Amino acid sequence: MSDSTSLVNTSTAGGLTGDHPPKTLPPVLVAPATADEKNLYKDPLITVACWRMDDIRFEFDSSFVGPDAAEEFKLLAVLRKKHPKAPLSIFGHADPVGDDIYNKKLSGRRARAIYGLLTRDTGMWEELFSDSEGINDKWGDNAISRMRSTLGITDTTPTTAGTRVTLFQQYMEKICIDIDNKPFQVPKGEFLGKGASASGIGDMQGCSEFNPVLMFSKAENDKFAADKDKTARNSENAPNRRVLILFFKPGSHIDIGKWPCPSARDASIAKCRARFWSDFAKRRQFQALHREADQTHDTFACRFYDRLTSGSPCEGAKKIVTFKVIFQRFPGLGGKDEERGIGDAPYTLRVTGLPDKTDKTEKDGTVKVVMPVGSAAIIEIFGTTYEVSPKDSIEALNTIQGVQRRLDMLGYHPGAIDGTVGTDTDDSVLKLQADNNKDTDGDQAQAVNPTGPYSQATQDLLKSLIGE
Amino acid sequence: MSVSQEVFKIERIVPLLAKRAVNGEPDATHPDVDDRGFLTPEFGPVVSVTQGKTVTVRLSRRKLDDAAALTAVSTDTSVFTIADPADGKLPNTTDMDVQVTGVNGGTDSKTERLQVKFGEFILFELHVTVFKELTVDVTPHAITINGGGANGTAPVANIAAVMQKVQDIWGHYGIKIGVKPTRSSTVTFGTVNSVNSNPFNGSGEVSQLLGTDHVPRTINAYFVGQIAGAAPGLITLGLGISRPTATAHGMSNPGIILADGGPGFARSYVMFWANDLAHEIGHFFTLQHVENAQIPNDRQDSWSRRQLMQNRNELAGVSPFPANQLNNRPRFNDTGYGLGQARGRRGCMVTLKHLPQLHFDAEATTSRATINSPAGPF
Repeated sequence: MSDSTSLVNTSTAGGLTGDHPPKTLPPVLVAPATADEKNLYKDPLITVACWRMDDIRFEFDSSFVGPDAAEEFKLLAVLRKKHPKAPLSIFGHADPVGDDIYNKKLSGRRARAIYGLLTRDTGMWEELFSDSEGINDKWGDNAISRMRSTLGITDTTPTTAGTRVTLFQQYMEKICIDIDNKPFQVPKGEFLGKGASASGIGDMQGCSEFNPVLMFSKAENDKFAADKDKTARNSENAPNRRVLILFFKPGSHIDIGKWPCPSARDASIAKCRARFWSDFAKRRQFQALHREADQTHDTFACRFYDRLTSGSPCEGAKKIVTFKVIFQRFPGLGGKDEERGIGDAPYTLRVTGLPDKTDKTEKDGTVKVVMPVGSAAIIEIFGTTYEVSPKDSIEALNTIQGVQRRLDMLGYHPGAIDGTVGTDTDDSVLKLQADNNKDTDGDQAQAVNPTGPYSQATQDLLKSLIGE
Repeated sequence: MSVSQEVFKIERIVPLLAKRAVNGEPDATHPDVDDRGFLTPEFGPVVSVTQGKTVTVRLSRRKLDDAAALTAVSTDTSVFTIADPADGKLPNTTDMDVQVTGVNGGTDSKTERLQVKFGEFILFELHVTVFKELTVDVTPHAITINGGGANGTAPVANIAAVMQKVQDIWGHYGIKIGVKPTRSSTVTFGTVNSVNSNPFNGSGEVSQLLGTDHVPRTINAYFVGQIAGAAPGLITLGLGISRPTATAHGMSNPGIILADGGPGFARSYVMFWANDLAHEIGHFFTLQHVENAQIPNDRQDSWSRRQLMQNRNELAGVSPFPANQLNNRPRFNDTGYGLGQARGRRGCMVTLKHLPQLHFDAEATTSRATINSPAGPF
């Protein structure tokens, strides 16, 4: 784990880059032929670096690339400068939710979106825009609005295929930039397949959900499956939804006719399955233990991809942590978002090692924080500096601290999370009960046994609200 | 000063809250804040003020820098205004006291919001209900009870001081207690200095007392030495008998009886009498005990304890309250009235919100409706 982290050159809120550990090939021994024969030696494909863009840079369940992705393209430009002759290939990935075909399409579309951006292929974006290929990935008005907003265009008239060419081109020039904010692009000839195939064989592919970087334990998956609200599941699964660009050793050459991956547009998964590990079924199961690629090395079903990314710093599950801080006028979940939340308020997010981000709170008061694990973050808002530190886990529900923690998470003011019930904790429990149409008894069971846990009813109520 | 915040997935931050501005006995300018939950229609806490009066309420920064520039504004200055700070700019302190003046309660009441803003952004809302003032007259009676062949003694309560505190308590809900001159009478019952609450009917001593020197169109409050007839282990210190209750039990008149003490027990704090008298006036206004729970099945949570209509007027024990003593809670003196009285007396809050899960709530509204009803409370 630590050796992988040390190889990460740079990270952003939505991705990272890294050099791959050097690989030493075993010496090749050549024996003389005895007849009119020849020996054939073929170098294995060797990857030298990687770039990853995370799910957060795409619209939810979509292949549309948001404007914040500019930060990751700057990293890509830096990496490209370091490895100018390394051929590239793009790999899109989905999370292990839904079916293989759907995820093959979505992961392929995300790979195509990146390829189109880098090569300024507006025709490819028009395909993505106009044909959702039977999945939910409809760019639609939202994408047009995002692009126009990013470009400062106030025009709201409907677009045509003709006007979209210009819009796409301008947007690509705006977000696909280098560290000097100048447009950055990669010619098709610099990809591994050299753009030889119209469908981008060797240049880009969608790996469906075959290569997740983390797999829930069975218990985790069962818990998520039981939750009606899939927000927590989707958040936990976010590291799996990613796009990688692998940099191959300069001089690497492929025969696209023998390339093992189907094209990014091909919904067929037969070629993928042909390259699966023999124990792929087990790898794809939710097993007793939670697994992560850079620790257990058994989450990728495709052995071809597994080999390409062996030791890659871009294929870790815990490089990024995501959480929300929601500013509200009153505690709990009552009322509408705009009644409860302090929305549209400007804030600055400062994360160690990342550029400052200035934005506005969402309608419900949300500030979404995406940061590398181990970084420090502060949110400057309302004349106040909030030093936020993410926690991996929280205290058990059957402890007083666990109840205090959850009350605090809901915005009540239970006082110090210290395991001691005082007036603030007592008052917060009463407010929790009032807000959820429960008898406001302050949890009599706990009160008559002050060192004991809160009642199962209180624990269940908190669990229903927080999911933990 | 920065705010340190641990976050597990989702953290909701509420920067401010509101509370009673002082932690002492009730007075005319520091009302309770009803902050029992955050449901529609108010969402935020509620405080009340009488039209023409000015009260102080405290806003507190819980997760906000003291240096953050905050402004308090009224959403409708024709209903209430912010008297201090006059320009609305709140001090750079953790606790910030704000004075609001009720301007117009309409035909009965109006509610607007006190908004705390950072720039244009509303960080917090306190609902302010302005009540049009209603006057209810009270006639105090100092009753000497002879009995058993012995002459009784006059009650020791400082009636004037007690009535002032009662005015302070009910004044926050737009109800002015008009205090009539104290009248003195002597009655003869079975036991000297004591009125027996049994039988509780038209032939009992209670009914006889309520018929003594009755002054119509006022609440007749009879101060006596003791009230006998309580269940074993309990002492009755007050009785509040509304018109419906009096009628149901065949009594001559509604009224209130307030005792100086009980067997082996004598009051000494003015507030102790005042709290009980204010409580019995609540009954006169048809309020019931908190959720109508009666001893021994009374409610034992901290919120009930804050309320004027909690059935127990004090808990045994001293601060910190021992848990489950006599099966009583709360463990905390959260009444907002300090520990000066030492024995954990109930609070003085008359509720403004109506929690949907409670059958009896919004006590201020109920009280005012009774007063405003065609028959009146008498």
